[in-house]
Amino acid sequence: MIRKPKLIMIEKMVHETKSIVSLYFHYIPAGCENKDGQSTVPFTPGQFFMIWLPHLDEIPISVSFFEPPDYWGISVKIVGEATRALCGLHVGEQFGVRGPLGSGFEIISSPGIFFGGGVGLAPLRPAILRKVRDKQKPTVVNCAPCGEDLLFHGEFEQLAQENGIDYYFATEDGSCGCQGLGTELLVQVLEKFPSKTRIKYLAACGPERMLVKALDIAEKFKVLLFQASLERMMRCGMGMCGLCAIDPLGLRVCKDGPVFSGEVLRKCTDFGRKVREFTGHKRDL
Amino acid sequence: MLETNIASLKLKTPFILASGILGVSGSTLAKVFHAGAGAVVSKSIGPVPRQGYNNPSVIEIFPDTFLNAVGLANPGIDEFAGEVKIAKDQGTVIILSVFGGELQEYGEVAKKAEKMGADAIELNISCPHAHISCIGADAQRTSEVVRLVKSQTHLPIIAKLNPNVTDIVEIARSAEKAGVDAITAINTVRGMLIDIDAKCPVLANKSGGISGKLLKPIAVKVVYDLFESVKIPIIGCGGISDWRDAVEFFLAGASAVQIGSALWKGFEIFTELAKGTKQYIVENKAKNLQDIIGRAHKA
Ligand SMILES: Cc1cc2nc3c(=O)[nH]c(=O)nc-3n(C[C@H](O)[C@H](O)[C@H](O)COP(=O)(O)OP(=O)(O)OC[C@H]3O[C@@H](n4cnc5c(N)ncnc54)[C@H](O)[C@@H]3O)c2cc1C
Ligand SMILES: Cc1cc2nc3c(=O)[nH]c(=O)nc-3n(C[C@H](O)[C@H](O)[C@H](O)COP(=O)(O)O)c2cc1C
Ligand code: FES
Repeated sequence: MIRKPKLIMIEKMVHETKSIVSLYFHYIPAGCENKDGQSTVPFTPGQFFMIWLPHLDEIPISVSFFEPPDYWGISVKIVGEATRALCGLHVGEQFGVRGPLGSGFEIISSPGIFFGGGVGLAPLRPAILRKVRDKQKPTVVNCAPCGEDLLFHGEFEQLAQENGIDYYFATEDGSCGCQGLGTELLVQVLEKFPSKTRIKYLAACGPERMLVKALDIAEKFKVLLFQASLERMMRCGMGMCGLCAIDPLGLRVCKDGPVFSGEVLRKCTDFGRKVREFTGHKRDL
Repeated sequence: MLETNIASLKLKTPFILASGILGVSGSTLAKVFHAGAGAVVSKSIGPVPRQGYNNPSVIEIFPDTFLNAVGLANPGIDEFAGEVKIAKDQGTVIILSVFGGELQEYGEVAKKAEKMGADAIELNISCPHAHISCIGADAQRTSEVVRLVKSQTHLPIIAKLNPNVTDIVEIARSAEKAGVDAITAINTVRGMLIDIDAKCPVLANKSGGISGKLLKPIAVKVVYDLFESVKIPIIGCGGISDWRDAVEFFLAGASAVQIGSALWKGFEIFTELAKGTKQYIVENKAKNLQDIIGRAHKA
C-alpha cells in the first residue's frame, strides 16, 4: 500500500443525526490494485483514513464500514471547516482517501461490550458487524446528549431484534432510552452479567474524559481486555512526524494506536489530560 | 567498533535520528535514543511558535519515498525546553536543530538550547520549502550564520546543507572556513505531486521535499563529493533504510549517518543497522568504523 491520497466518488450518503453524515464509496488503496482489480488490503476495525479535501485540508476519520473487497464507509461529525465541507458533498462528488492507517481493536471471544459515545461508535461499528457476521451476540452500549444524536440507533435496534445483540442506550436529557451518562449505563449493564462471568473485552470510543471513566469501570469489574481509541492532531498519519505522540511512553497515536489497551493507557499520563496542537504545543484537554 | 566523533561529540554508534522525524516529544526522542541511536536531532526549533503548513503535509509518493511540507511547525524554543529536559533526564544525547527568520535569531535559539543542556546544534539553513532555504543557498550567508552562532555558544555546530543549489561544495567550504564543526548532507530535494483527478498539487503547500529511498543516490553523491573537498566530519542523510545503505554512506566518506523516513516502520532499525555494519566491518577485515570511512575513494 502506498500512503498517498486517492480520489474516490461518493456512492451513498446517509444523514445519521443532525450533525453526523455517513459517506460510502468504493476504494482500493494506491499500490493495492492487483490485476483482476481486487483489493488485497487487510483491514482491522479501529483503523482510520486520512481524508483529503483538495484545496482545504486532510483530516483523520475512522472507518465505520467495510465490505470486502472494496466498499467502505466513514461517519463524520460536523465540528469545523473540513468536516462541514465533507458532509456538504453530494453523491457523485469526490474526495481523497489515504489508508487504512493505524492499529485496530483486538477482537477476542465473547462475552464483551462495545461502548461508544457520540460519533465514537463509528470505529466500533465494523467490529460489531464482524461479530454479528460470526454469529456472536455482542453487547452494545450507545450514548449521546440527546435522542437525535444517537448514532446508528435504528440499525442497532434492528440488530437487537434480528440477530439478538444486546443493545442499550442512554441520553443525557432522557429523550431516548435511559436518562443519564453513558458511563452510568455501562455500570448497570456490567452489573447485569452473572457475578461469576468474566467479561473478556470492553472496546470504547468517545470523548476522552468518558474513556478515562470507562477504564476505571473496566478495572473495577476486572474486564480482561480494555481497549480505547484515542484522537490526537495528526499530519503524516503513519508514524513519521511525531505530532501525535502521547507521553511519557512516546507512543504514536497514528501508528502504535489509535487503539490502546487499558494497561498501556494507565501508563500514559497524557491520557485524559494533555493534547498537542499543530505547533507541537501541549495543552490541557 | 562503531564509536565515532563529530567534533567534541562522542557517539557510541554512528546512527543518528534525523530532524523532523518523531522529534516533537521529549519522551519519543528518548525512546528512539534508547532503541540504539548514537544521538537524536530534535525537530527544527525557532524563536517563537509556528503553526506550519496545513494538511496534507506528509504523504508517501512511491513505496518508501515521501513528500513533506510541514513548514517548520514547532512550539518555540522556550516551550521546547520542557521536551529537552524530559529527553536529557533519560540520558539522551540530543542535537538541537535550530532555525530563525533572521540571522540573530539562530544565535538566540542556539544560546537557549545550550542553556537547556543540548549536546550540539544543527543549523537548519536548508528546509527546501521555507524561506530559510535562501541562507543555505548562499555561501556568504551560510558563513555569516555559522560565525554568528559560533560566537554565541560553545557547543559543536553542524550545518545541514540544502541540496537544491548549484554548487553544494562551495557552500560546504564556506561553512568550513567559518568554523563549522561538521556538515549534515542532505536535507530533502524539492518536489511536487499533482493529483491528475483533482488536477492540483496534493500538498497544501503545493511543493515539498522528497525523502526516503529515492533520495539515497543523490545524497551518496553529495557525501562523496564533499569528502574530497572538506576536512570536517560529514554526516550522511537521505534514504537510509538498512545497514547496506548506511555502509554505502560510510564508504562515500560519512563519519555518521542520520535516519529519517525509514523510522515510520519501527525503531528496531537501529539494532539492525549496528548488527549489519559490525558484521560488514569484520567480514571485510577492517578494525573499526573509522577504517571504512571514505574507502570508496581509494579504489
Ligand atoms: C484516529 C482518529 C479518528 C477519527 N475518527 C473520526 C470519525 O470517525 N468521525 C469524526 O467525525 N471525527 C473523527 N475524528 C476527529 C476528526 O479528525 C476531527 O473532528 C476533524 O479533524 C476536525 O476538522 P475540522 O476542520 O472540521 O475542525 P477544526 O475546526 O479544524 O477542528 C476541530 C477539532 O478537531 C480536531 N482536529 C482538527 N484537525 C485535526 C487533525 N489533523 N488531526 C486530529 N484532530 C484534528 C481538533 O481537536 C480540533 O480542536 C478522528 C480523529 C482521529 C485522530
Ligand atoms: C516529515 C519530515 C519532517 C522533516 N522536518 C525537518 C526539520 O524540521 N528540519 C530538518 O532539518 N529536516 C527535516 N526533515 C528532513 C530530514 O531530517 C532528512 O534530512 C530527510 O528526510 C532525508 O532523510 P531520510 O530520507 O532518511 O528521511 C524532515 C523530513 C520529514 C520526512
Ligand atoms: S501523525 Fe505523524 S507520527 Fe502520528
